[in-house]
Amino acid sequence: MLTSSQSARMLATSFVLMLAASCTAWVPAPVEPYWQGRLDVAETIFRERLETSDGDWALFANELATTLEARGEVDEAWRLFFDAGRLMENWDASFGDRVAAVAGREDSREYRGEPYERALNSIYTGLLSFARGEPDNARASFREAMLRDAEQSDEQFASDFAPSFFLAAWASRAAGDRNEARAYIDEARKARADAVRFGARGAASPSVFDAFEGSNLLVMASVGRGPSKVADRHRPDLVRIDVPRQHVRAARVYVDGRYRGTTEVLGDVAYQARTRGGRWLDGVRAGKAVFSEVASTAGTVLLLEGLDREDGGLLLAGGIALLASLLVNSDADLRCWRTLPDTLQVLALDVAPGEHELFIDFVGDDGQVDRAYSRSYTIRLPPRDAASARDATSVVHVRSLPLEASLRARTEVSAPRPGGQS
Amino acid sequence: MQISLPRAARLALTVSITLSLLLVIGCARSHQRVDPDVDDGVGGGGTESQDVRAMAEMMARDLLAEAPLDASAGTPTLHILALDNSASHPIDKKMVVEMIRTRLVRHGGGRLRVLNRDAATLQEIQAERRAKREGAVEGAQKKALLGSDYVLTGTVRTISKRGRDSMSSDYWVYSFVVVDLESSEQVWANEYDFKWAGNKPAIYR
Repeated sequence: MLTSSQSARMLATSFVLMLAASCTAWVPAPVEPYWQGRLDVAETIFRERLETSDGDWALFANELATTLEARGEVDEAWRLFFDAGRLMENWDASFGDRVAAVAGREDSREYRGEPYERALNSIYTGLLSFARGEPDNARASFREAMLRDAEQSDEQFASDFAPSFFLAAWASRAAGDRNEARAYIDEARKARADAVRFGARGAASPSVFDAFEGSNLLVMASVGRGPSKVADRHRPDLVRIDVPRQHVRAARVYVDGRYRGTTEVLGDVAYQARTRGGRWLDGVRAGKAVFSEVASTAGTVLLLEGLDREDGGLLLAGGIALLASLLVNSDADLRCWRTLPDTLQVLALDVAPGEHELFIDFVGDDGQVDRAYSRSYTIRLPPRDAASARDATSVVHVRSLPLEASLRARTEVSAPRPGGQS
Repeated sequence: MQISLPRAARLALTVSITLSLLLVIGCARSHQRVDPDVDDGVGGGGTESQDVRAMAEMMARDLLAEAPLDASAGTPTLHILALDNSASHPIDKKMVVEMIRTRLVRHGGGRLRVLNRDAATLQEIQAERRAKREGAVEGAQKKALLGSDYVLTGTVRTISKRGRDSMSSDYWVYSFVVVDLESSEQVWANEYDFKWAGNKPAIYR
């Protein structure tokens, strides 16, 4: 038997424990330094959050890796993307995590990312594998991106993210398999057409598909600032995808001072975030929100019925349902990878082997160029070796960020050689 | 004053306390040293530490025990050419190759000489040789760079399945072959495979 004061203390303690465990809101790291091009500041912020991470390691590893890649630190960026990718693929959750995720906040569970975030983790891992001279590992990453994008709750959708297929084609060709490369280009065409049919931005059949066969240099640009999750102003259980206003819209590419073209949209990240297999998800309520509302309504009805009929069983059931509805925190999980771009864009070029100066600038909707975003690279394209099964393919990836002068000024980059050895 | 709580209140109290304790216990974190050859309990799939270690150990021992390496003209030399990832997931290729190379050297016992032709290492070796020959650094012995008698190549493949109810499986096969560089004969081959299957829990769907 408990005394009334003991009972009151226990009840109070249990509720305080419950609240402490379930109501600590996740706090995002400041991301503005990254978008302002203050990459050293962004790096410090993301590193600190990575060290103190609790359930969000993969998120900050991805944001730090993005920052390091923009600084040209290829190996560490690859390692972080790779490790984050393994964690995003790990669905095991402890019993405590499951209970916390059910009864506590949605963001108390380990962050694994949405399908579009997992697919983009694979794509960036693959792009860095290209830079490390490992086109086979790049192809493996792009294949993984296809699996991750298609991985939906009811498994009825195929991947509609064309960059996975298109990049896999480049990687396959670089690894020496032209037939596989052509098959991937066909898949990319279908995926792109499907995505545009359901509302993705850009052309349904960008010219890069036709340019693939005759090109040896792919310029891939991560353009603009990507989407983020926000809670609905009136309904905190509703997740909305917020797409910020864009400062730049496309990249213009010059080789040895000659204009060679402007990048085209191949992947619409905001569209990927808002849809699954073409089905629009914006404003979808979390499952727990539905449960909480149903449990609350059911509990009230049962209690009223129980009082009317003087039925103890109904009263008990109603009480438990109401308690459950009160304990369940249905606030939406707003964690998202906030250094992603708005779109993935590409330009395929045929450039003679040897050393070239590659100059890239970014234009806005008004056609104006912001010089702070411009940068140049010295690239060395390998000779085309007819005797080798492997193709002399090079991929250069750029991000639309205002870079400090030291990173803008003629960065020396050797375009990756095919057939990188272990 | 002692009171007897109604049954419903006792049940609610018990549920509440149990959930609170589970939440607190569930959030606890600790670190401990674990055996890299056994499952670490972290979960997930892919090529894990025990796979890399077991595979490298098995490859080295089997190759040394089974491969008919011709030693008539002296200790045969072997160069690890490449590990080609044809799977649907990236791997740390350098780590796998380095572990195989280390175990081949360790278990070789003088029966096999393993060459290091990693691009970066080879560049450093050549720079050091130049420095020695030019007298910039000390070193009496002058040796020619060894050519390779055999090459070891590997391929990684996966069969990945994604099914209903968020089920997934990945079958991994690491295949290795040794080829005689003079005759192009494949003198040895072996494979190492493993499979992962699982599903996405409801809290992530």
